[in-house]
Amino acid sequence: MTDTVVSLVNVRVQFGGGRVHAVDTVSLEVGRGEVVALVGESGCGKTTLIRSIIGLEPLAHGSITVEGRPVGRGRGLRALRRRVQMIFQDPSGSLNPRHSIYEAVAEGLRIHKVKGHEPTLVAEALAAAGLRPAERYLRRFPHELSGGQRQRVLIAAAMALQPALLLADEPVASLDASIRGEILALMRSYVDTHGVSIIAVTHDLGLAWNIADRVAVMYLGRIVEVGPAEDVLRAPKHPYTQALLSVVPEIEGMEQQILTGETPDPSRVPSGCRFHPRCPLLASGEADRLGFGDRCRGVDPELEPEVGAHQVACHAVYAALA
Amino acid sequence: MSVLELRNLHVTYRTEGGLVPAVRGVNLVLEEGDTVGLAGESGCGKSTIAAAVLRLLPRGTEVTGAVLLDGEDVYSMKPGRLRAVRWTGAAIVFQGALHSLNPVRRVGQQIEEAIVLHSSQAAHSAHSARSARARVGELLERVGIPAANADRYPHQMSGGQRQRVLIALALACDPKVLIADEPTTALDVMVQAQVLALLEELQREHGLSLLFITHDLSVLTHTCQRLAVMYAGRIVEEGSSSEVFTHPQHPYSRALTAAFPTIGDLASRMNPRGLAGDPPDPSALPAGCSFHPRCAVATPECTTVDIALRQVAVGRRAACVHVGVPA
Repeated sequence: MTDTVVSLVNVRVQFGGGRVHAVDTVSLEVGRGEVVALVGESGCGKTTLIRSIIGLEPLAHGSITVEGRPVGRGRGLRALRRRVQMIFQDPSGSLNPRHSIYEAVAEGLRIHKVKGHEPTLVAEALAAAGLRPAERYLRRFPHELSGGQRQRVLIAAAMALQPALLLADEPVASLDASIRGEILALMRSYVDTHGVSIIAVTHDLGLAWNIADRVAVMYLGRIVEVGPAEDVLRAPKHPYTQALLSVVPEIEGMEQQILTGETPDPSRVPSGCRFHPRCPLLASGEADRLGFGDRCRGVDPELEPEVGAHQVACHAVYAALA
Repeated sequence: MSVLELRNLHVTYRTEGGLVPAVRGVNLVLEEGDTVGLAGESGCGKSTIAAAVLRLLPRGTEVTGAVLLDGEDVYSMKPGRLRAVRWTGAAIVFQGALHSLNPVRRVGQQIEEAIVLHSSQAAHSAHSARSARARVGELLERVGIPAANADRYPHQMSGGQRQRVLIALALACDPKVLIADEPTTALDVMVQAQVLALLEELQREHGLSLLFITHDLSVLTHTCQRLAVMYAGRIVEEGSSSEVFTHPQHPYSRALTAAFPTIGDLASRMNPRGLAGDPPDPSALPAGCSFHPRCAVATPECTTVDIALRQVAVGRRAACVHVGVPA
């Protein structure tokens, strides 16, 4: 087997005493140096899923292992959190406004008792994150930096601990387009130089195209399509992935499929395929014409291989393969 | 006649740290039924322009030049006239739908209030209250919200629905010009597509003139016929939106458009592109072309020559010494 950094097996996360299925039976493996984009609308469970990887969400079912060690509660958690770091969308909310940039990076080093000369480690981490010369930033405070620079500080603080896995929750959603590319390039550069693995949660399919090796599309707590980024983004199979891609404004010549209604509610997961109430194939009558409409309404589809590593959970795709 | 025209508009904020020029000589024309997009990074002055059109800037802000709504200068209007023009002449849809709605009042009441206060016919007719309520229902249905939801409070609605309410509110008095300031920025992709489709439909049906302000260039190419790219308080390039997006001339527009990856385009695969550096501090602008410190093709000339926007092709203007003027 190749070197797996994190492995999720049938993970289920529930809220409200089991009424809300935020994450519903998800399995995913991420290899060393691999970048996986987890895409989907708000409320699809993508953030909950990555929070469960650092032990922030108790599992109702299934297991998660990081570098072969199970993610549990209690004692092992600190060691785990050095190996798995997380960055968030809003860089100002994640930095203490009264701590200098030096403190922001040094804090993690102290908590995890990283060996070495602290000022050197901090300066190196900042320089690697593109804040050069580092001396110019050490004594500054978060409010003195731009949004892009603050995100660089957070990435520096996370990467200073040399994690095996970086979890990034909408890392560029609050940044200007011009800055976005710079931050993504920085994230990708750590993959090439440090061999870190990244799971990036995003609703931005362009991000996936820019930096991800693989893409997993989530809908209502479930992965409905997963595979190499080129396959999923250029030849999407699941109607939901197709709809998501059709509304990306940069894609010319693709007919827009605007799904009606709001993101569905994870406390009321529809029967059968959870996407069926919004599925264009059912709405157009095509699913019934081709004879699999009843399965869409009654049978919950599982992820099955389309070709090789490209997997889809959709009765229409099964019907086409049969 | 153009429905909205900005003539050499300058807006300077007074802050504790001194004068901050946010808009520095912008000329922009919106013809009837036109859709114009205004794009740029945070702090480039695009939202200041939205606020300047309806005189919503903080007291003491210096404004020179002219803002003409239907040929009438907004800055020489008397208070009564100004109030009449807001909502009926031009209306604004803001970004933060949660902050723009009053949290303790039902959404229907908020729309009704705008109708009663701003539309002269409703205010003076005997059955005004009833007709205003009927109009609220009509407006909500128009933006895709069941009329019965007029009784809801903002917190009982999703982000997309609140944004729709704001659009209904802006349409309450049949404005000629609609200014949309980042109307879809906080929304999910699918909801964003829904709101954009709604705006396009309303624009076509009502013959609205639309000034669409956003940092997301890709959204503008879909929605707008013309596009103006702003940098440090000025328009640096202007032209048809598809032309500007596919063949940008100004180095800044080139960097900005390259930052939007085209899915399927192998040039951007594993190759995210951005623009190094940050926008300049408006209170300490670089000499010469204000973009030169971040510009990939800057020459010594750029550090001294502050070039104005000029015609570089038919229907195309750019402000860069390196962009050729047609012979």
